[in-house]
Amino acid sequence: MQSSPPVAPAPSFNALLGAGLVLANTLLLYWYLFYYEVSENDQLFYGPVLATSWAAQWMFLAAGSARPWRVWYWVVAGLSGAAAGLLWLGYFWLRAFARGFNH
Amino acid sequence: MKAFFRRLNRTSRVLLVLFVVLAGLALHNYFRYAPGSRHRLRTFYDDAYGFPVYVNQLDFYPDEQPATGSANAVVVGVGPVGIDSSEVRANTPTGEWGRGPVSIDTELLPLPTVLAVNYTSVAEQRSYGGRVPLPRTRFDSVLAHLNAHPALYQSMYAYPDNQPGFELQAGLGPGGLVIVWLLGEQYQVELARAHLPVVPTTWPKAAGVNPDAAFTEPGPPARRFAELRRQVGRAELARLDSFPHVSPALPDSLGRRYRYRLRVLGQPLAPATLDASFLNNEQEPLPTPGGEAGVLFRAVPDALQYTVAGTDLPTHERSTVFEPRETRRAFARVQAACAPGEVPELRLTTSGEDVRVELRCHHLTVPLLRAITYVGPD
Repeated sequence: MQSSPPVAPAPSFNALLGAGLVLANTLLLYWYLFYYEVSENDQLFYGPVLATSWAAQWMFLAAGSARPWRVWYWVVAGLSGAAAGLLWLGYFWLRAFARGFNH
Repeated sequence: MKAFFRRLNRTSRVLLVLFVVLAGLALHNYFRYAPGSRHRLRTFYDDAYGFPVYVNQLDFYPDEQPATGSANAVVVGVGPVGIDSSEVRANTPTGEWGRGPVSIDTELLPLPTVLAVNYTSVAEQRSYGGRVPLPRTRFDSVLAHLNAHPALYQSMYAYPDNQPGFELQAGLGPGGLVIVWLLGEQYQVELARAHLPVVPTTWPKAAGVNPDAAFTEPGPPARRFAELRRQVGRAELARLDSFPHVSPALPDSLGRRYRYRLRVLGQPLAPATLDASFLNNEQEPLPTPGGEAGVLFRAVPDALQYTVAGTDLPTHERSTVFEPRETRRAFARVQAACAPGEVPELRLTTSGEDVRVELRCHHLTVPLLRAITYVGPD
């Protein structure tokens, strides 16, 4: 039986480091934008903004990663991108139809 | 360390740069943060003594903005934060009458340091404009007293989560007097007071007299005493047109009286009052719908206050301010068109939430289009 040609295992260093940086960057973005006194209007941005940055970073990481990681990063990017789209829809729905009495 | 960076590919380097930038921003945010530096602000303006004013601009800025052109230039574009009245002015492109809420009650904003205002005192027919500095030290002393005696400073409105909020009111008076108060249920603290300079305007003009001649047409310096005396006389004439000795009231609404019939049609207007003039504020009940008040002989009404009570309508208190020159013009037109002995009729017709005001006689109907209605809160 012919064995498959030897393929050098993809170095997982950059992939794992990139994943860690994505997580850390999202946390830092949350601290920067939303940690200190924010208004109710700004709180509506939590979900959409964080999900969008999350999806964009996973896409960037997936595009720059090698095979076994690449697939899973694209999956995460797709899921978080879909979530971001839904959250933006919800945000605009709230803006348009569900305003508070003093907004 | 060098080996570590050599192992990074392009993606990781970009993400690392992003990490460094975000960490810097978050640290900067952390060190800059001061608790209580941002507040819920709600701002109002009002004429200080019940005189009608016409407001072109009223903006509270958190920081002193660089002056563009002259200090009295009407600034429409405002920075990213700040309470600006452009949204309110959107419906009335040149300005607005009377009083009204200016802006924001949910945003957390830094306390403003300057009030930029440009308004016209209708009583004097003069415009005033400029910037009123709101000293931070004054704010701080008020806030310190507020922290020491919180029971004294009840917030006027219920904010979400019982968070504290402040109301700022700017009172605009004749003579360019502007007072800024911090308001609450139990307290009213004066924050700043200023006399603003006159802004030269080209309106309104009495026949043959330019009220702004003293400002816009200084003329050559006098060489002889007679010439000087003539100049002083001209200046006095120009000033007398807008600064009467007795009171800065409107001479037209005091002096000119009209004979008219007041009639109310349409949906019920329940309990209603009528302000008949600028000065004496006679509060008269409106006639019931379908009825009329008989023939009145009095000054042009400048404002109406009434409550619309319908089955499906929220009961709002409303006040309609008429544009006085248009009202006088309409009276002149209708009187000219009236048959001899006929009394013109001032008719209010309510339909839904709208109130139509028209002045009519048998041959002519003049709608008062520039009546501006302010709908108060429930």
